[in-house]
Amino acid sequence: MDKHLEFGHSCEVCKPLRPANPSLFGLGPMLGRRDFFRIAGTGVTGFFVVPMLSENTLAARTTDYSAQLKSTARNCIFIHLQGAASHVDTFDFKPGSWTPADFAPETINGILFPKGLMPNTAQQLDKIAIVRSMRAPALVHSLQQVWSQISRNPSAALGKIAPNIGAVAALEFEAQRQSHHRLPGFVTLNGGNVVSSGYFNARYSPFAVTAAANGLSNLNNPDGQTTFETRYQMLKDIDGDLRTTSLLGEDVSDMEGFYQQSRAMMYNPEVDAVFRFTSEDQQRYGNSGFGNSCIVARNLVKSDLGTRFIQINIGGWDNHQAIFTPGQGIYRPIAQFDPGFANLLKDLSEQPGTKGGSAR
Amino acid sequence: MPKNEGIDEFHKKAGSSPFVKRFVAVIFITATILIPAELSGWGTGTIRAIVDAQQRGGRVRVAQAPPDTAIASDCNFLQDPARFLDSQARHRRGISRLTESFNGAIERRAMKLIPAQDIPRKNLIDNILFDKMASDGIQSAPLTSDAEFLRRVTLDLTGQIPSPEAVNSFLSDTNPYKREVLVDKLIASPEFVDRWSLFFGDLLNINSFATNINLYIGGRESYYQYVRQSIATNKSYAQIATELITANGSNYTNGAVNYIVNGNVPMGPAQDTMDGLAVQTSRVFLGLGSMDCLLCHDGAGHLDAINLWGASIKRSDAWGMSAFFARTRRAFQRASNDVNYGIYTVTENATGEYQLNTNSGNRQTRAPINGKSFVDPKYLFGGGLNQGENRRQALARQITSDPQFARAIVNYLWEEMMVEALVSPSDSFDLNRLSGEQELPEGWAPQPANPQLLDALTAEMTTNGFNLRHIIGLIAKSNAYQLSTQYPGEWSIAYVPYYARKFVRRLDAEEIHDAIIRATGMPPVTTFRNAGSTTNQTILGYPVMGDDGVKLREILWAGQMPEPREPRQNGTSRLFLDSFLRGNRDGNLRTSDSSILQSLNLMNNTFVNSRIHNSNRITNIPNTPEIPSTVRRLLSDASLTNDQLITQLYLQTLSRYPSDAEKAKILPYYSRMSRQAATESLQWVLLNKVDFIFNY
Repeated sequence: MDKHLEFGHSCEVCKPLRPANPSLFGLGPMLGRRDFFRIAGTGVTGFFVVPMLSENTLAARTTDYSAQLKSTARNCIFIHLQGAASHVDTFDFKPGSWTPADFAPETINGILFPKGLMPNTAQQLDKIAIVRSMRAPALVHSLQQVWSQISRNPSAALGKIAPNIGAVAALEFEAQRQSHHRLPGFVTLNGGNVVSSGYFNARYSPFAVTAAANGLSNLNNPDGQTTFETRYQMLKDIDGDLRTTSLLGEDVSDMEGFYQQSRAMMYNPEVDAVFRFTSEDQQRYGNSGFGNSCIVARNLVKSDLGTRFIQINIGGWDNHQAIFTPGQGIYRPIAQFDPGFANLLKDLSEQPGTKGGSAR
Repeated sequence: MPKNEGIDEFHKKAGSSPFVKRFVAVIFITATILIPAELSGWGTGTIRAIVDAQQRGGRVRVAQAPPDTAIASDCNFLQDPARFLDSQARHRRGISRLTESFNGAIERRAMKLIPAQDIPRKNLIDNILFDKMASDGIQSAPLTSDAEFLRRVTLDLTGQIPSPEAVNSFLSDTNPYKREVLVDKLIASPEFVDRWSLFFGDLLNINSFATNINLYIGGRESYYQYVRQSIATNKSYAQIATELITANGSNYTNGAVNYIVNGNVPMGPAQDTMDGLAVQTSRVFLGLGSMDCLLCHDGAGHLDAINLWGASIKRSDAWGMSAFFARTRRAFQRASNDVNYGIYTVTENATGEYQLNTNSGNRQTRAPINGKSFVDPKYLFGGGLNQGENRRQALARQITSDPQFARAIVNYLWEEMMVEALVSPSDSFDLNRLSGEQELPEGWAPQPANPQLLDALTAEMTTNGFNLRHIIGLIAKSNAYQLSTQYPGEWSIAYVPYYARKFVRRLDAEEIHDAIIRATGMPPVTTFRNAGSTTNQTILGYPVMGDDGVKLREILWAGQMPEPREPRQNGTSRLFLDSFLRGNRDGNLRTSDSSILQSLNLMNNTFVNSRIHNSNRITNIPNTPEIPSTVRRLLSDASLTNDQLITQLYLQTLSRYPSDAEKAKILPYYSRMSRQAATESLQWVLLNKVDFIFNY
């Protein structure tokens, strides 16, 4: 390995390209935050073959982590109601002569709530706090959807390369990953308009999952595990000696890279269990794409396998016309949303301690 | 770091090395440039009204709180430039590591370094690069093999892998000029038009739906076809730029009009869109990404650590560029009352000025300067209007006669072919650091990897009628392009700007998709239904649907996709393509990063898995005979030995012959399992082999 590429190296040839003052930039045996970015955060390296730092190595070496994480929340599930749900008919309920009778409003926990429209959620209101002071700056749907995910004006300078909040979370929690954290930090479910990791390394890009009862399709080879293992072995045989020194000058006998990480996710009962669910659960959650996604979100949080930020998208809320038409309008997305959301809250609250559950 | 500390104070206190003062590319400034938090709730109707109001010279009254104005402390890189690493150095480290690691991961034949003076010089590129290497004592990688060159140049020029027939024909060709002949042939091919239309589609952000404006499919189609036609006829790049900047009329009948429509900036006054067009024009045609910064504030106090030229430019200079778009108007007519899509019409008005009278929207307050309430159009490096031309014609004339115009495009083309741009990032030129000769302040170095080469290519572009094919061909025919990615010696990151070796790159999503199709012999199949129809159709390839839900045309290859949101009708293919991070030309830019999802897809996704078995074949296309997978076709030929089978599969997938060592490792599998199982496994293995998805 070229000495100029080695960590901590400095010489006349490279001087213009490297900082001269090690103390200022945290060079040394431990990986300061800047070097974390320099090595693990380069947005241009195809990490396919670069011997990737294992999570262990990365966690052990990242010390000067100047991001002061203040909040006590461990995980975040962001449910993105694309099309923009009518808040005055749901969580900021304002009844009037137009309100259909089947909304059946009732005051629950001090909040006027359309119990008839969202009967399941109505039973879980004690688990949530409603924030009504948020405001969306943009009128245009796609503009605001991107805005919500990157937390800044997409039209502004460099808006196009701004990362999804989920990617930021995944990066900031990187230091806390341990060896059993096999799943990506940022997962998205149920399709939709998802902003990616921008100028961050693709490691933090959203891992898109289509929730299905029989598990994550990409985690299992369609030809079965035995055939897969044979082929994987053949791949390793033919690729020959993949002995390359790692970025930090360590000897690596096995190529640490995306193939290894992917392989580690496959046929792993723990990982598999996260993406599977019973038909009882499926029915309880409303038997829809959104509902299934909520189950997987619950499992991701429960299993504590490394995912910290989950984004679930559900569309169909752009109810300009016929919002109160039975079977259409707001009723259609609510039919998916209500059982899924309510059961997610219920199941999370039954999980004790730091993996979910009430603060009480 | 205390806030608001002057940059010089910071340097003095920190004892900063020259490194700290080096430019940091604009692109790595993170999200701290504050944009006015209070925005009005304006829709397009209101924007038109504002434009009209300004036309009448009226001040736009806005019942909103004034926006926060950006102040120096918002651009955090100014206070702490060390947080933002030199992106050029990062890129060089990145491609060095990637290329070195790649070469460690595949079998390479024994080779030796060549003294630079011994490499034959094919053209001016070689003269400059190898002379420089020789004079600085840097040795060159050897030339790449014929098979590697064939695959590399076929991918770079056409986005496709060569067929086994092409491989054999090229390898057995004894013509000493066969590489030049090959380049010419590839440039003349229809796939060349596909591939470079994709390139310009990325550069111009051709999209049907975007956060800033929707062209709809109608607009996107006419824009894409305009680009295709321009590439196919090898239209002069100066003419393309002129047509795009000066376009008027319907965006359906004049594809170039979409360039103007695309510059829209929503949720702000008309001046924001004028600025948006100036930014787009500066980025695309001049490689000057700093315009986006300069339209909010002066360069001084913001770009000092990043861009010497930019630091000398004032916001009022930047406004002079925007003012060229101050008389441009855009109207929209829906196709009918029940639909959202329609036609944009762009016109150039006889009157209109860039008014300094805004206090809301996406940019800082615009207020009169020395009592003057508007800005005259003035090109950054020139003047205003000549007799008989309108504003956009004046701008197009001055841009296309500016050396920076040629410089920007040759740099984009060089980057596309050579992986490492001469000026990197390619949209962040620092005009004060382009020469290798000038006196620069301490700590700053010339920006181009090789200033002399950049100048020579710029001159070549200008004196050859801005002929894109000429430059692309010149690069492909040089020996610098034809060096191996293997450097059989001690490599140093300091050698990157010498181009002492070729660098690897991961294939784009579209190239990977098409390579899998070609390797496995099975085109995509899509079943779809036209709107209003009750019958499904099944076709090879993908349908391109119109705004009305009716098929407009069909395409066979991902390389022919007019935008990354396609194929709308085939979810499996679309998600597979998306996992290779082709972006959406909007909030998600294309990247060649790798990810877990990509390796999971290559191993397990049905897109791959439905193409590797003896049982895989296409039988459901009407009036079309069965199309077998490569595995099926080879297995049905009983005359092939195992050795020949393996060889054919290598040629079809990796466009090369297997080495003896590779065959020796594979043949035992043929004894351990059935011929069918071994062949299916080998097909899977070759698609997952690292050299399949790389260009090297």
